[in-house]
Amino acid sequence: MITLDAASLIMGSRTCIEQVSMTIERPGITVIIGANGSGKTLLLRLIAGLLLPTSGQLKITPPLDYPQLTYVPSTPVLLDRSVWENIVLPLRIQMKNNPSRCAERKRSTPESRTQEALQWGNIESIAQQAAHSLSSGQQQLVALARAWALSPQLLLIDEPCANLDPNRQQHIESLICDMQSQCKVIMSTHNIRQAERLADDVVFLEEGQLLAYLSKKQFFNRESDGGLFDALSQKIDTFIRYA
Amino acid sequence: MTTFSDTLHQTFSLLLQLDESLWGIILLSLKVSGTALLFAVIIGLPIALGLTLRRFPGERLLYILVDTMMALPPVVVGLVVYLLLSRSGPLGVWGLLYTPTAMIIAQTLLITPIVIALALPLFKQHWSRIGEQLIVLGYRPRHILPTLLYEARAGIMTVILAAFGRGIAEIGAVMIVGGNIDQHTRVMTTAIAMETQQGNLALALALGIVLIMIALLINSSAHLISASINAKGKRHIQGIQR
Repeated sequence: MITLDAASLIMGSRTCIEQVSMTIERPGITVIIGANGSGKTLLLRLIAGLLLPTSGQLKITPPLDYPQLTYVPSTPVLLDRSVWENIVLPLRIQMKNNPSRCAERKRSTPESRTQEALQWGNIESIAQQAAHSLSSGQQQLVALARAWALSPQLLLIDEPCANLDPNRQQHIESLICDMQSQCKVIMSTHNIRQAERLADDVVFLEEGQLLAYLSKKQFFNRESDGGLFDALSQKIDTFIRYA
Repeated sequence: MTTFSDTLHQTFSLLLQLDESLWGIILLSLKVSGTALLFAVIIGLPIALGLTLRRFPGERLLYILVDTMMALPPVVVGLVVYLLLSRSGPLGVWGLLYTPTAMIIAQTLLITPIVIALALPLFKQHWSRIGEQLIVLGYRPRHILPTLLYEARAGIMTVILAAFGRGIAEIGAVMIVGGNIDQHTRVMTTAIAMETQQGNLALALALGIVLIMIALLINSSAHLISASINAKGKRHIQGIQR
């Protein structure tokens, strides 16, 4: 369960995240959507613990250590090594730091788990290639396979399909769908169709403010209640129309 | 012209004859600068890594200080080490003045700031790229240090070469603390200066050529080592996969 209680983030003189309060407790995929600059990445980085809220609180229950909680940035960060090494090295470190977590993956050594991750991401053919020689789509697959291999309980993914072709997008979306069976996934996107395909619930941000946290059904099939919700509904409609 | 060609002829004769005094000077130069480099790397790289990972007040001031020390005149370093090691100095009881050890100490002091100042921006650049990702992948500080060192390996090689170059080419510090004693503390640079003053140009030039050859050899070795590391990595991966 992830609880944000009036969490704000001020960078310089700008309030980037403003008084966000919500509790994410449902399993599945939570998609953060919003226009560019709405604070999607910053909210993900706050949840990841890579930024601390200037005021308010953020609590994850039960507390998770890295890499039980892990984060895949929109531009994949890979080491200057082969694809194989990029996946196997964090697994070896996890094995040393937390052997009990690794024991849950029965009879799985870092090497065999790496092989499984390569198969899972369908990237066995590029295992020996230098990670930096890959296309951005392939690098994103490696980053996702590496995250999957670590068996996280909470996976945060920032704009996983930015600048990718439709085929690659489809492949990555299918992998993200598969991931939700083993862990909670929170991802950001400004692609409303992608949110509709993947989301179980939706966090809608505008200029650092949380406008709505709704289930997919509530978000995409709104009914008028003649009250405040209608004003919000109009904003969502505008976003959906122009996103 | 005749004098110049005669000098060149004598120079190559000396080199080809493997003149004992010449090789003694060359080996001592390599020993002093190589040992100083080893200490500078052992001290300097962890300091640069620590400065990369930690934030503290007065950080900027320290960077300015390190950059300033990079430009330390060798004679000043030599003078400081001389004062420390001279009989009336605080470390005078060790009796190290005019020994190769004193020369190693002086060169270590001279090139350690170079290692720190050149490695620091390199580590910072790599850390800003991969640091956050290493943390979320579960890397602890003890894993981060070797990873960062590996990521920056090509640049580190250049840092090491630059530091060694500075050490082996300097004359001021080794002259003051070593004293240029024949067959004891005479190194290539002090010998070149002395032989030139005495008009023994062939030996001076032979030593100059050797200095340049050493620089060439070290640069070539660095490239070969780098290529060999990459090839070894590939073989290792293939082995694991089979």
